[in-house]
Amino acid sequence: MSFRTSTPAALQWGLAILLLHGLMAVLGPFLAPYAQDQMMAGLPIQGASLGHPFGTDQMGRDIFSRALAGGWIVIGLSVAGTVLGVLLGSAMGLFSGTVGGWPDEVLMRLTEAFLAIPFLIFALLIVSLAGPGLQGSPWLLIGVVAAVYVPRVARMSRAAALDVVARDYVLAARLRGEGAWTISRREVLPNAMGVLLVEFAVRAGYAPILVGTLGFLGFGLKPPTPEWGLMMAEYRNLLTTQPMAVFGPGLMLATLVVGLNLFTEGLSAMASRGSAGRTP
Amino acid sequence: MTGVLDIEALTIAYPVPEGWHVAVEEVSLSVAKGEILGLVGESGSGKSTLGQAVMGHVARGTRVTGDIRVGGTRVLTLPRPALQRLRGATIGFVPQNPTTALNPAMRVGAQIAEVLRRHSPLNTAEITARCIELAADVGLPQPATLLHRFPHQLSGGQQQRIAIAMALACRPSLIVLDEPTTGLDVTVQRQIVDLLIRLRAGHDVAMLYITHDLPLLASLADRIAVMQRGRLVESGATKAIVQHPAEAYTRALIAAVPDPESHAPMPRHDPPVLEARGLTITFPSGYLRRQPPPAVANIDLMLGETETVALIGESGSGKSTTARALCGLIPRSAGQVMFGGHPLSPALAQRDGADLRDIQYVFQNPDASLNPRRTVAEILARPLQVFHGLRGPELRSRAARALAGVELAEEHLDRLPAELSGGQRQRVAIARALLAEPQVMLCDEVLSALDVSVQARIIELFLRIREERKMAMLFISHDLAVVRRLSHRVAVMQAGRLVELAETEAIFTRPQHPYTASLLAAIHHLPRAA
Repeated sequence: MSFRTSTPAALQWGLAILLLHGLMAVLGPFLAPYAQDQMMAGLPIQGASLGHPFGTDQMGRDIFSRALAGGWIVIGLSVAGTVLGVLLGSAMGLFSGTVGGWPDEVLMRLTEAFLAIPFLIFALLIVSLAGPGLQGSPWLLIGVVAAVYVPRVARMSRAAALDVVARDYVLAARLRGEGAWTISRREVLPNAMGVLLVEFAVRAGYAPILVGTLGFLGFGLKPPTPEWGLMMAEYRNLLTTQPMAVFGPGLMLATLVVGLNLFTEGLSAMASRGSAGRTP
Repeated sequence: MTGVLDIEALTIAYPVPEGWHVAVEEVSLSVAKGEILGLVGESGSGKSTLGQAVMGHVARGTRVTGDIRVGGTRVLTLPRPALQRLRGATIGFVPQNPTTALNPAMRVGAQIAEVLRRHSPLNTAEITARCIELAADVGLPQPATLLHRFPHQLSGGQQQRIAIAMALACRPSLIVLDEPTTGLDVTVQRQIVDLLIRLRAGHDVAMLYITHDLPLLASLADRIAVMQRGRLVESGATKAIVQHPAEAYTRALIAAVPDPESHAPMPRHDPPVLEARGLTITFPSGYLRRQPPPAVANIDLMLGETETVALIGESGSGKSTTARALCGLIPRSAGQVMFGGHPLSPALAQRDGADLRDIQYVFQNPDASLNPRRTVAEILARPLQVFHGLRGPELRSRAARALAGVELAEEHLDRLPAELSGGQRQRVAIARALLAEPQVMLCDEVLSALDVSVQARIIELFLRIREERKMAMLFISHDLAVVRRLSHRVAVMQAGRLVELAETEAIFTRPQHPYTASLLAAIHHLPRAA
């Protein structure tokens, strides 16, 4: 079976967009027409032109070059935060679903409590609790993304675990005297992998929005980091005179999110088709 | 010759990644008016595909050649509306599992009435009268009240009777029955078979009865057709096929059926290894609800060191629950279990490693008891790691030896369960249990998911293992012929209670409890050639 015929269109488009973003993130800083922090690369506050596709800012920096330089920051933070969140969340969810009983009750009521807080307020709460020392640190941002995702991923993976723990091979493992942790790792995890993979893709698709939003609100990275949300915040008073200063980074963020979501949609379509194909 | 059903040179092929899978190949069959044709074969023989094709159900993209005529009408080329009129009106269908075939949100009477509304000119009053008549015909008690119930309020046997009534509703000339009694208890199975024989006489309807159960066909069908891997091996009058089979495959199929007349193993008088006294299991109910009756009540059961005890009874009688309480999967609520002279804790978590190792449980369905994402080598390594603390390359060599012990080759080590056949999977599950080197094996319906010929080989395997290992077995089964072949003593359970426990020969020749007698009466005997 060739790759092309077996892959849904959404997955192909998503992959194409992600590939483009990946290339921009890796090669962009080297190919950019100007250094991202070069002042007076052009006259200040110029509209879009061939030389400056996104125009220039108050200090004459080339906004396109800055946006290119920001790609790996946004993608890196999103991926790192999502990986951490999915790892912790799925470990918690799989364990919780496997062990059952009161530990499961406690863990799940706890996740419900966290889920009751809107995620943005929850994120802001963590940032403010972290204190001024950590503010603007990329580690804090990764932690925030992970913390927002842990309860969500935990619930998903617990549901996947509940489906698996009723199977006889889990009973066989319990009859060997194996504990919940061993069983969730050895018996449940391999069978929940499909769900977790899709879960990872879904979460990764929203992480750039979270990173961008925090940056825009001033709770993310600190200037002069060329992070897209932060750039949009910095340039928002140019919106009437030089709209591309805001739309440019916004376009980058939007296409990245669209690409990730198309990819996820295609992935889950393939995953569900794959599982449907296994039963004759 | 034109019968009710004529199939000529039917070939059905499904597209698969590697090309075409031929499910049915050049099969020609006919069923005469009022005749019961039994179509027998093992899983994958194409018998269900054939039955579906008779109903005009052919999946899109399937390649079909040949001809199917029902009462002279060509089914395969029939346009959809005509096909829908044919189904229900001329051909009735009885599915394997009435629980999923009946609409759970609709009263059963309404479901029979719906068939009549679509396919007959009767008015509402006539339909109601006909429904009651049908329900009485299929032997349902108090039809007028029973028809107002929902499917879940009926027993499995009653549900299947409703499905049969639906198939009969429009006086069809042919009914296709696809494994209609497979999920049912033996006594219920017997009643349904008797019902079908009675209906055939009363309604003058022909039947195509698809099953894997040859002894059942021997007491039901006029003629038998044997299928293997999509081909018709042979067909003929029931007596001729059963007593003088022409083909080697048919002979093998008959030989694989355990003989309920065979002599039971001689009883043993060993010292006990596992003993339950007053074993009672009550499943907890919700808060504030009345305590339900126990699922298993006051069981006294003893297993000798090298003894095999069979546990028989119908579904829901508490056989599996009893075995699961013995191994600790389900905590018991009262009573004592002694193992090798010391008491066993009710909870799994409180049993020590040696007790877990010494009592092994083999599950009914190997599809469910083997982790689909682990290779055979990984699956077999677990008991070695957990119970015997083995590490490294020795795991693989021991696993390979264990495979040889259940007559599988070393090459199977790196396969996933999905890449094995059902029988091979059950062998892996048995090998896993044996690797623990247990003193007791609890086998829960370990044969029921397997084909007869595979069952016969697994029985041989058990007989050999028992001889080699000198261990005790508790063998849960609903197949009395198998029980007679394997067990030294038989325990009969009914509604959570042990109603009879005796040596095998005594149970089969002089049953004391009426329930045991009714189980024995339900066995279908294969009339064997002298």
